Amino acid sequence: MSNSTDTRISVSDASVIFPIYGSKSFKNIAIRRATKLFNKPLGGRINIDTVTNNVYIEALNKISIEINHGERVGLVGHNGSGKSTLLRMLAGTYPPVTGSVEVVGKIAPFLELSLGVEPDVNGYEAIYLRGLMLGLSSKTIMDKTSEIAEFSELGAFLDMPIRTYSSGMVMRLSFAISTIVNPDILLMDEWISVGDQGFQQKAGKRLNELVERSKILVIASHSIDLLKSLCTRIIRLENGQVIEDNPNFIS
Amino acid sequence: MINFGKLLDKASLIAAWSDIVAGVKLYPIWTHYAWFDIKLRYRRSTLGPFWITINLMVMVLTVGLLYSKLFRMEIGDFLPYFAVGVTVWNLISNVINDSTSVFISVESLIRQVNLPYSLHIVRALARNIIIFLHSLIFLLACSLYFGKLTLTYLLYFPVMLLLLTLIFFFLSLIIAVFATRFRDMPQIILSVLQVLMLLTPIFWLRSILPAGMEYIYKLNPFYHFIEILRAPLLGQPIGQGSVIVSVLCLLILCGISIPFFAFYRKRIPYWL
Repeated sequence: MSNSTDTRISVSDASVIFPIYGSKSFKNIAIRRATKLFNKPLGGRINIDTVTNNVYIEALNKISIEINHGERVGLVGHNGSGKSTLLRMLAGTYPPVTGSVEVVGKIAPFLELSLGVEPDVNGYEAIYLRGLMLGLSSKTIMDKTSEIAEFSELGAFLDMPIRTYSSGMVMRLSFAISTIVNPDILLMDEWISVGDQGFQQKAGKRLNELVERSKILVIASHSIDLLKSLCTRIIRLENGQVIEDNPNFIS
Repeated sequence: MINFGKLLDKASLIAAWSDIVAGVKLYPIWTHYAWFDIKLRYRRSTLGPFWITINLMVMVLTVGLLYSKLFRMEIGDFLPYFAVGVTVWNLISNVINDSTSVFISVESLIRQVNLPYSLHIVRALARNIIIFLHSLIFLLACSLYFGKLTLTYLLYFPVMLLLLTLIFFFLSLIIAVFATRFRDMPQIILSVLQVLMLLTPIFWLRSILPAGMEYIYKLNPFYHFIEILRAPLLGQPIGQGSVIVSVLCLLILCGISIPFFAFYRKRIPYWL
């Protein structure tokens, strides 16, 4: 883990542009729609590259943000304003097309609560495989397996293949594995709420602990109440651009 | 025109190289995932991965017996030759076919976790090597039964397998990146492989080619890839030419694939 005060994120002039490959007819439709919707946009801008005649979606457009140690950042904006894309860019899964993203500190992205394993593996195998993907060592996973198993409350089901699980059970297990990490930077796409009432309380408590331990939190949410209780800074996105940055957001 | 910036510079080359190093270094991940891929494929089957060997045995016996009669060859010469040839060919074609879907099949993982892209390539490669090694016992038994096996030449086998694995890695890298962007590639590759299988001396011996047609296999790198593994298993010296061609292929593929990977690496998640 890095030195405590080193943790920071610095994004400068970063753009994320998705090329859309498809047939010619698709392009024509996209061009028509793009020009029509131009005044009332929801989502990133749809652009046509005049040279190559390809369609592009500008999900993030030249974003510059500095986030320092101790900050709790809330991302707000309409659907498709670029919140999730920004989180994924910070997580490193979408490298910026232009500009740069520099992250100092260990990141834990809570962007998807899928296990990402074949449905035929059993619960224990899923813990192991998922743990490896989250960057845990074999030994750490072995040591933590019983803790994960206990937290998930899945009991004998951990010996059963994942395909026999209900979606709630999969989420429980995924949550239990994902929250075993000890990150410097926590990236969250909405507050994770898993399972039935009892489990939700337990999960909420654990998530709060994680947030408290983390040095930077970036969370995208539509719930102002949640952001009020969590964040020290609000960044508002629209069409892939920062339109408001309030670093002195008082809870 | 959208400016994607300068994609190929020193920094991106270094990033590509460290992606490869980091991917290989994560062997606890790719070895486990490779094992699980195989385990899952044969889960609930009694014989498991040994079905690969059984399928191979059925194929080898049928074709071995039939072709040795058709082409009037000694069965002792043809059968082990065919067995090794077809197994190595299966390895090659599986590696190449799997490369075309290597990123697409782990799409959700790539979107979630920032892992080196090369990790997915090594995982697929490891899976295919493990499958190949399952058949090795049968190949050795076959070669031994027909009195072809000699220890001296067999010692070259691990070295040659390593050479081939390296070739596969860089080849996979190019194909994987290319096929992620152009979704027609898997189909094109499939038909090219079909033709190549017939053009490569697997089902027939080099010696039955009419004079002046040797170029059919001599110009085919896949023949040389098969030869460097086939000769050691059949107790024959490896043709010098085949080793040279294979080493050259490795150098060329390495030289092409690293800049290629460096250039397109950052585009991979956008193509998924």
